[in-house]
Amino acid sequence: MKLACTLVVGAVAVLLPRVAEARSRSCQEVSDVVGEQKCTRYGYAWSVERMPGLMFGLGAFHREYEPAGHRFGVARTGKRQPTLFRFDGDDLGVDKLRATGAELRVSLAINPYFYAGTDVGVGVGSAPVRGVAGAEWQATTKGSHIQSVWGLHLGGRIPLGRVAFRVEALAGAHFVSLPARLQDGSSANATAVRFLFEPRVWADVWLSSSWTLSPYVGAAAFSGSEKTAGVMFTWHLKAFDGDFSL
Amino acid sequence: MLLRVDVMPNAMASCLRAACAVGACLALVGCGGSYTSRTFGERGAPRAALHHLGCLDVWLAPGVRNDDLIVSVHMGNTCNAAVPVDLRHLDVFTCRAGARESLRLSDPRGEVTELNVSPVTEGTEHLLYRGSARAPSELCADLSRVAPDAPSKRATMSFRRDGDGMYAATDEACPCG
Repeated sequence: MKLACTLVVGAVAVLLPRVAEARSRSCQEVSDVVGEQKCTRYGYAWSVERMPGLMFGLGAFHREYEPAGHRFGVARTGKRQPTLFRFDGDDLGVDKLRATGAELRVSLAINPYFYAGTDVGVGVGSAPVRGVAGAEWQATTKGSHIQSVWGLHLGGRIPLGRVAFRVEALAGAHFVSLPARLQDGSSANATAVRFLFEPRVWADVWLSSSWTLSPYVGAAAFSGSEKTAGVMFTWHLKAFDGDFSL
Repeated sequence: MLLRVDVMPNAMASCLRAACAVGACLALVGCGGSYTSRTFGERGAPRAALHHLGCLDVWLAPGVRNDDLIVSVHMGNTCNAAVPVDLRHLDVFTCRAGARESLRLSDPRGEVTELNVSPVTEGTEHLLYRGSARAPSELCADLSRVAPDAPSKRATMSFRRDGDGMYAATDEACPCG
């Protein structure tokens, strides 16, 4: 713990001047007396009503993706390469692609019971070795694949003391990318993108007034039996999100 | 190998940087602590200037700036639930010719309203008070109606200005209180 604190203090020593500089550019405070302040409002640093309910989370997830029914586009690796051909996800010959990875999230509590924010997650999993073909091109997928998710979430929270339960919906984009090799030996990627709508259920366990450990499970709506599960450490700017219990 | 060449430099590297930044923030907060009933005492708050109103601790520190009376109000919530506080009901007064004279809170933007102090959180507000004398030699404050959920029958503090012009909390009762 001491080592972590030392490392963090060092990081803050580097980062804080930049933050302070950015803040000083945006607003120059002239007084700390209520009524004379230009940059802040009464209660901004301590009240439930005016203190921003920011939450930062970092966690790990495991998720499933059913390639059947999705179209993959194959393009050479590199920026802005044209799509050479498309194939159906059924051609991969697997029911599901499974990936494990890391997830970041930033949320803002609208009030003690509702919140909204954004998520980004990137995971890696194995990919099948499979030949796929278009009219003129052929490719063989292999190696590991990547699944990434970006989305916005909106949720509700039921605080029950040291434990809180949350129900939320994540809406966003789900990217899947498989490495492949074309018939001429060059590298390519097979990529699919789809809209994701994923209801999730969370349990928050308060480790302290600012930290929660939260396991969750979710399932993609409208797309069969894809499931996701994960666990996240979250730091809450507002202690107990403003309310410990109902 | 393809993964490393094609994806790592972009998405994975960005995510790794973001994860490190968030991790640093998380660890930073983990090193800090929440407000407890001992916090103000450990910072040297005089007993006579500290009052407990249920879950709410209030520490008053009057001072003079540019001949104006500024009362620094330190508030700390010792509970896991939010606590309402209304500093409009902090009655700061002095004695003038044996009569009680309440000083007027300067709140030109009408910001001071009833708000809830976040659980196990502390905060400070600096309030400007005006009266017929800008910085009286004796000052009293009645906190009995500051915490609507924990009204107190007797919650008065008394301060006296010393030779250096600083206010010091005293155990004496307010002469007009």
